[in-house]
Amino acid sequence: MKKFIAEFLIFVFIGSFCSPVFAKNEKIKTTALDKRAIQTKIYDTKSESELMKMALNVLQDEEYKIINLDNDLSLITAMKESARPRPFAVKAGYYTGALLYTGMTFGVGAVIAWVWIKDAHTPYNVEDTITINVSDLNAKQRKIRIISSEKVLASHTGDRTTLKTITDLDSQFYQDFYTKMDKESFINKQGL
Amino acid sequence: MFKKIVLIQVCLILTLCLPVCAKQQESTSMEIRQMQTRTYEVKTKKELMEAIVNVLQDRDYLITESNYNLGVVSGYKECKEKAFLGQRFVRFETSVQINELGKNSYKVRTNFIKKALDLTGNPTTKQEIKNPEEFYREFFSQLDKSLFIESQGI
Repeated sequence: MKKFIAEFLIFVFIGSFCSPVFAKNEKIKTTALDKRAIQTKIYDTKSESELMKMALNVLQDEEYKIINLDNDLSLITAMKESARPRPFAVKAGYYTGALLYTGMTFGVGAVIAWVWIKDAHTPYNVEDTITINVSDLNAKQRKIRIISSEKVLASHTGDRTTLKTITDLDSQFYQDFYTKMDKESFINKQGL
Repeated sequence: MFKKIVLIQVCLILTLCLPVCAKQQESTSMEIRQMQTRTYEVKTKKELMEAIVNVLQDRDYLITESNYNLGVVSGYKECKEKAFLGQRFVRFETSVQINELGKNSYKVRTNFIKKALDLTGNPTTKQEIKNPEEFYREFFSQLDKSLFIESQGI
């Protein structure tokens, strides 16, 4: 009996080391202020219009199309359509599926599989929409805030284009955008 | 005797299940208006409109239309939502309207519409927002916070 209890306790003790594996990985919820901190940047400009023009120049450099522009509220909404290659895992899936299908149909379905493989090399259509909001902070400084959403669509040969995913862009997107804004601010100050 | 007890029990269970079948009373247009409207005391209309835009941005909305003179801001958000099996894509559309009541007093009315997105990414059927009272209360509470943040210059 004692031996059994000792074995049980050892088992529980060793097992307890594994328990952190089952711990729920909780995502830290970002507050509205955290979000604002990531999305906002302050620039020294003479007016809201000057900062808006800088943002418009960056948007044009990035090939965005302006959807909405409100000078009174200093708001810009723009959209960009671009192509993105399908990930390697997706391509591998297409090829595996095509090979299996060809094998299962004893080579008869090779033509269909060939058309199917073509889709693996057709890039995704990505729609990026961005809203820019400029506001006065004080006499010398203006605040700019951006928010963006990305929609990925996949086209299929002989069928409709389907929606793959919708995501809020990560902080890297905002960093990249503000790096371009910094460059634009420099160009603007130099009067180039 | 046993059959009678079973019958009584079945009847009792069925009566307990009745509230599930009860038809939910629809809100009247006045109730909906009340839910969607709040009055704010701010210095300028621009301050209030900027706070609204910031709240919408906090909630990941993209602004599609805005008119300062009419006091209207419209936007939408597309996101994933948990469904019975996996996930589905939905689109929330909103328009916020501001009306001047008196000096430094403004009435804000907003409405939200939820739509399901089909496989091609186009909005299709209109869906009901779960617990709309709480949904609108949350929006206005965020607007209160936003006005406070803006007044502090954060």
